This record gives sequence, structure tokens and C-alpha cells, in this order.
Amino acid sequence: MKTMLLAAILAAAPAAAIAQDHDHGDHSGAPAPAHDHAGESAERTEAATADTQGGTLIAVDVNGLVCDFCARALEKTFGKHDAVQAIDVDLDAKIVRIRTKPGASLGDAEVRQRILDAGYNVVGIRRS
Amino acid sequence: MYMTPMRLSIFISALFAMSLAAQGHARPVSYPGGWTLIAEGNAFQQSLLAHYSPSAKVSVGLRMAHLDEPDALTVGPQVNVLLKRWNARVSQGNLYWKSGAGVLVDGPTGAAGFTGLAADWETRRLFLSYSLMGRVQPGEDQIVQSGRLGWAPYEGDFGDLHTWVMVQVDRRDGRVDDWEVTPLVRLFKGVALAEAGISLEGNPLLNFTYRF
Repeated sequence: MKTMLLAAILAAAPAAAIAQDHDHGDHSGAPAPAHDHAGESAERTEAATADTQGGTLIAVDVNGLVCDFCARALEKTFGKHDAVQAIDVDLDAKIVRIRTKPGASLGDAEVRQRILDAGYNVVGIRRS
Repeated sequence: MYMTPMRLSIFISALFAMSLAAQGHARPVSYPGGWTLIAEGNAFQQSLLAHYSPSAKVSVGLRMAHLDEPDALTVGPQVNVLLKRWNARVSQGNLYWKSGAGVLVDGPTGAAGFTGLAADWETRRLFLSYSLMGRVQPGEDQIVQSGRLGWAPYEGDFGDLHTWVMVQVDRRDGRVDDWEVTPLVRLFKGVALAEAGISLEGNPLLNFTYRF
């Protein structure tokens, strides 16, 4: 019986993985993260940092970023924000880069609070 | 729709597998507004937990689990609370309290439940976790301990496939004291995490976590 159950779990895993491949994030109409697909972190970084897009680039040093789950939590946190155009989480540098929409406002206090609410700690915030 | 006995068996097995649950080593609390499905099966338990996290500090969900003594299926709520998180520059540590209760819906009648603590600490290359759970169920109360040590052979970027090699040690103190040592592989990509291993005693381990 246990073997059958375990086999059923194993069978369910690929189906969920396929579902993940077609997950394009939030479908509410809110601005989605730059990319949800794996292996495109460079493009995601470029989208968040490119200076041709206007808006403000907010670079946040964050403690506790140790895995994809952490990165995804912050991506979800800011991806739905009306002021956010793109976001990138750099696990190597422990930096969250947020590109605001042109003319939109996103204050340091809100950035800090949202990251805290997501379970992480802000070390510093820089704007450019 | 008519189902042959074989198809019915597979269907029931799939449903059961979907109802496997989780004192395990996947994070029991998601990001605010996140849903998680955790299916686990090993020598000591098979279970499924579907939970919702209204904040980063708590999750509430429905858990279904198979009890082997007595042979029964239990269904009930589970609550996980993040008691403390330690965020450092290159590591994160967590302490959780987990509790669940259930009624037996198949087999003998009665109630079952568990409560306990789970802790983990990880960097991008190392993983340590330990949990201590007390389980109350008809026929036999148990103390279940589980520890895990993991190592990642490389550091993947956000969105890459992350690979871990781990060893899990389980101990169950009840009428019969059992030990189980299980080498396993964890694969983690995007919102899906899968683990597979075989214990030194020959029992398979399969875990799956999906967040959405």
C-alpha cells in the first residue's frame, strides 16, 4: 500500500512541474514580475536595472536571502505593487532591485516594512 | 463514469497520496497570501498538508495523514507558527511550532493529533533541520524525531534548478522504537520542490512541495 502511495506522489510531481512551467504569476492585471520562467535571471536583472525605462531604481540590501523561496516571496511582495515596474532578487549579492514606474512613488519606509512583513530584514536602501 | 477495479485502486491511491502530510523539512509557512501543498511519504508516515499563510508568521491548513497503528486515515486542521527567525547575511534560521488534530475517517473511530517544534538553519550550500513531535493516536502515542543534514554542490541563481544531497535520520519512540536513515536528493526549481530517497532499511521516501 505504501509503495502505491509513494508511486502516486511521484506521478503527481511531473504534473505539478508542468503546471509551474505555465505559471505566469499574478493574473489579476497587476504588473507581473519581469519573468517567472527559470534560467532567466540575467534578463530579470536587466529589466530591473535598465536605465532606459524611467522610474527610480531602488537597491535594497537584505539579510536572510538564502534560497529561491526567499526570492520568490519578495518578488510576490513587490510584483503586485502598483508603483513597481520590475523587480529582481540577486541571491549572490543579497540585493533586491526594484524599478518603479515613471512618476510613481515608493518610499523607503514602505519598502522596509514590506520586506519585514515578508520575513526578511533590510540592511540598507540606495536609490538612483 | 465506470471505473475498473484497477482504475479505482489507482484513483484511490492518488487521492491518498494527495492526502499525505507533513512534519517534514519543507518550510511550513509561506509568504503572505501564499498557498502551499506538501505531500510526504516515508517509512513512518504518509501525509498531505494544504495550507494558507495570511502572514509570514503563520499558516493554517487541512492535513490528511495515514496512521499505521492502527491502520487508518485521519483528517483535520493544522496550524504552523513561525516563533522566531534569524536572518543573517548568508544564512537564515527558523523555529516553528506545529500542531494538528484530526478524526479518523477510515478504520477505527477516534481522534489523533500532534504538536511539536521544528527548527532549521540554512545557507545556500548547507542545510540543517530538526523536529520533535508528539503524536497522540488510538493504540499508541509516539515521540517522533527527525533530523536532516544537506549540502548543495553548487549555488544556483534565482530560477535555476537547485540540487541538494541530504541525509535524513528519523526516530520513532513508541511501543516499538524505530530508526530510519535515508539518503536523498532534493530538487528545487521555481515553486516546486521534490525529494526522493531510499532508506538504508529499503523504505522509499518521496516528498513534494508546491507553492502558488
